[in-house]
Amino acid sequence: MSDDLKKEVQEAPLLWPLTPIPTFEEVYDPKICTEASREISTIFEGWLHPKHEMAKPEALGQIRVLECGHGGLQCNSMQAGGYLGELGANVIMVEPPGGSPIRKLTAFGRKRYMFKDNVNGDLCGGTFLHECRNKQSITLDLTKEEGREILKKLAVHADVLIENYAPGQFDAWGIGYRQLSKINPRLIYVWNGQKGQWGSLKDKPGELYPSSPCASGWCHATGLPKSFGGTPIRSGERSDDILAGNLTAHAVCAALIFRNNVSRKGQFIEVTSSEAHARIHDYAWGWYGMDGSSKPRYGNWDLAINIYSVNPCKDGYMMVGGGHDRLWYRIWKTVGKDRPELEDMILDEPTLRVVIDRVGHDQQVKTLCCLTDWMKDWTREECRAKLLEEEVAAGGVSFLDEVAEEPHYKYRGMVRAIETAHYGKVLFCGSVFYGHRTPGRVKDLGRPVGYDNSDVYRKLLGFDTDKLNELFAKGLI
Amino acid sequence: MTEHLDKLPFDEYCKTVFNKDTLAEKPEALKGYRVLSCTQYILGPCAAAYLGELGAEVIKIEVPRLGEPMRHCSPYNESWFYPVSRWNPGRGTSPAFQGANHNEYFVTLDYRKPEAKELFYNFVQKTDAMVWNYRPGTFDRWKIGYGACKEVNPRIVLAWCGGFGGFGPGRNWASYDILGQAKGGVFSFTGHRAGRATAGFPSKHTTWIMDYSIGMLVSTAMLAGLYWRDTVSNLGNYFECSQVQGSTRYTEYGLPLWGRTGIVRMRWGNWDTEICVNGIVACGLSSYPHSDHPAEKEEGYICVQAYTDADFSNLMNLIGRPDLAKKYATHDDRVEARAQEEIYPAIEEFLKDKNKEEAARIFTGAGLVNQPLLTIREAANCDHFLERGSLGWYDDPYYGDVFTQKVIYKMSDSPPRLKHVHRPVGCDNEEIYQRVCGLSSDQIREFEAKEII
Amino acid sequence: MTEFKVSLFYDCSKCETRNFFDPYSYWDYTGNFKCAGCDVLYYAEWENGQRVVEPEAGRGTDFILPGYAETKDLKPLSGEGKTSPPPFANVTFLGKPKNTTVSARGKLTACTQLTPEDLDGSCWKRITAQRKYGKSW
Repeated sequence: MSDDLKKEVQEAPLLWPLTPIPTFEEVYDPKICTEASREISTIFEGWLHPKHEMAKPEALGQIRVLECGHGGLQCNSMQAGGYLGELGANVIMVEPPGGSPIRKLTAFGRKRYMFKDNVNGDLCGGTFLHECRNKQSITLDLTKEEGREILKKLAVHADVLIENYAPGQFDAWGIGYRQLSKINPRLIYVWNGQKGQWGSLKDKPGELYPSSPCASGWCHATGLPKSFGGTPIRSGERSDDILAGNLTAHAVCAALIFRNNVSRKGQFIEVTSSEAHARIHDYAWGWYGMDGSSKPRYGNWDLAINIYSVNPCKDGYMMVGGGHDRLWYRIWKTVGKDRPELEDMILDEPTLRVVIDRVGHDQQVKTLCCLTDWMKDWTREECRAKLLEEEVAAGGVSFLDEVAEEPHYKYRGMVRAIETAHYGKVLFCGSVFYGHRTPGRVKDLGRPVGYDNSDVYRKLLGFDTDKLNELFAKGLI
Repeated sequence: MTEHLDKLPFDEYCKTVFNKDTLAEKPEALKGYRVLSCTQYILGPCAAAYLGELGAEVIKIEVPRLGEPMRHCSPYNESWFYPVSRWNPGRGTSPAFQGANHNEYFVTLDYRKPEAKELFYNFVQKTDAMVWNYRPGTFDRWKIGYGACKEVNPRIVLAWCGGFGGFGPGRNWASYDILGQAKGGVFSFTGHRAGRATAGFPSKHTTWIMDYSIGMLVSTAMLAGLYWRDTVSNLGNYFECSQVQGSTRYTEYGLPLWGRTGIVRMRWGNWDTEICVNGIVACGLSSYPHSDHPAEKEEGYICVQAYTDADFSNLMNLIGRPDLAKKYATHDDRVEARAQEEIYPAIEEFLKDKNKEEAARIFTGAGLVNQPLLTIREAANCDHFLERGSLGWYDDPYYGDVFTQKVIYKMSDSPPRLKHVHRPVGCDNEEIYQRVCGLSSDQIREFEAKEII
Repeated sequence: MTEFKVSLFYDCSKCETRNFFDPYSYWDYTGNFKCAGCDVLYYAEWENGQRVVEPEAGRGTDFILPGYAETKDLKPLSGEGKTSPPPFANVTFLGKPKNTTVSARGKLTACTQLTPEDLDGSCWKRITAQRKYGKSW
């Protein structure tokens, strides 16, 4: 690493927050909010504000999860571990010696976007750091027989094991559900993948996002229609893998309840990314069943609701929503303040009078041309202010710098910074699970490779320093 | 019993334990739990529906007669399932409703009527979990919020989900899925960047992803809350999940990157910012040039993955550009923006006289991982999903032959399953108010006449 | 009061057809469009949504179509060759309830508007009959 680069990575300060986080007094200033609103919000805050979270118990505090999701570059198991970790599970992340390949991912391969370990100088990518929250990092070489023997011993102490290796790989290695359930019948075993470990499109080794949304029809239906110059488009984020992660956490909780209430034993679970998308693809399937319709791409407009869309404005893109009559007339009232002729055009149009008649394509083009003709002269904030005056749900498409600085998010601790032991101060998104008695929380972000080897192997398997050194010398950990 | 399973090849083993035809022979994970769903649109309903698939008895409360608004939003106003309720046989329910309301019982209740409060408390006493997504404070104003419910039933696990949350400067802002995508950040970096031949606009995800996925998280929180109640505390709980935060939570390296370097994650089209080659490329030809179906006439697309050195050089040789394999020998070289701008167009050049099936054959023949982009119609006819039972035809007791999404994931011992897609508004008033609330049929008829239920 | 310019629709000076320019194809467009009413080519330029060059005589032969068009008395003029092809889901497009009684694979499905006489409880009689007696009439 060049000296310049070293400096850049190491000494970059945290640029956040650029504007101060609002205080309680500012948010609930009697000048801007009613007594009733302050009262109820204060009650919610008392129940839910993350500043109280560290004093409360964790919902899955008794659960230990082994997350073996780092054989390749799929991120689904990593996400699952993150969500379970937020809920309090003790997630032990098993990485191959030398670290997970996901650690090395960084946008455009740029080292200067990575985070440098202030002790050994290793670089770690932002995605890994952000998603591997609350996890303990251990290393273990599962490609070696001896390593797999150690995993079997670890499985004795685990409630849940999550993996995303190639279909049948763990089974062939003798550490699949069939074998591990003999060792620990209470083990809940989850396999994550793109399309499945069986079936005609079953995963090939090395398969990654975005092959899953391509298979489920999701990608084909995302993006602008061809006549507007569009193509199918993938999500910027690995949306399928994240969904599969959510679902894995869901399935694990369900299996824990079943284990506790009924069966007293674990089970084999399969969560795939493409089925996660297929499951949430809404009316696409019912519509197909009715008459063979194939849901088309409709860009940033909505096939089923008019107005419920994002369109360009002066300085970016603006979301406006108002399908039913109450909001529809408020939107046009707002537009009419500046452009009465546009309001008249819409209100004069006979096919736009009834809610369900408005969703034809012609009606949508006419409506949204008129709306955008108004929006083109205003910035996102101006549009939003004008629409909020009439209580219409509206908002600009925020870039991430704007997201990071949004006062509401900062106040709620949704976006916050943490001083990590090895990577300095890092900005991240807090736990989604606000709770009264058992809130989700973030205690730490990703840790260096093998950071918890000593702790975990000692605690669970009784390995002493000599044994650990021996394993290290053999390249097993 | 498991001995014969041990001897099966792995594929067969999976087919046996996850067999879609034996779901009904297995117990349900959430048997005995009752969930109340006071929700509308997608975000809240789907959270309850996921629990319904796992076997919980989900009771959905709607406004009398016409039900919730999501029943009345259908694509192009074409597709409806009739009736919306027995009071309105001429109106239908949109298929958009079925994805978020599997397996539920449908009752009606007008919360604002004074008699309704008593019925509501009646439900609350007999319920394990409850989810709602009205604007924050609405239920508290009606005196049926968390504060009131936990007095009535200290074991109840409540979850509120919605746009921005119950406290903070933005607590009164309304939200929709698409606003969540927009305000949370994922919208800004999905889509083609400007300046390419294709339109450089940010793009929303096709369906209401922030509704469904935050619904999953709410549902997860409720399950965790139930588990904690049953194993540890015997106490209820209150969760709040905000839609925009879900969207922000999905931004991966976006926030750390901005915080450290001041660089804003932006759109990168169909390619991957972190891995190359891992992207979607256009094939020049359509798979169905003579189809009379408009969506099928356009050219095909395929996703191809060749990010290891060996695969990459294999791919470059295949498309006749070994020079690129040399030029970008390491992954760090080829993942740089300029390298990607050279590599993907070269692949598209190679595919310009092929359709997606030919492309798939060629890539598969060379041992490269690929996946053609299926249209909805192709996915609906794809053996893989039908055989696995994730999609399929369903003989619904209320609506007849319906094609629908089925189970959300596979479990070997207590699998989720589909029992009915949904039902008309107030269809289960009689059963639920009798069985759960203990009302007589006289009383039910009286309440129905007064439009309390 | 500020004057606002109309950018995203245009009344053809020859046939008085109102052409609507969808904000995605036309937001930054430079080139010809074809009037849906009289097929005349116009040249215009848009910059960030603002029409900076008003429609004038077409240049060359390339063009794109308006997103939607209507006559002066609000009759739609959309259609093949007139406006840009809509992203339809199927061969047939009605824009109103399809009222089908059979699904895509030909079995009975309740996708048709009903009257009170068609109901058995909250369900269509033909469906309950099929369920109870194994047939539908």
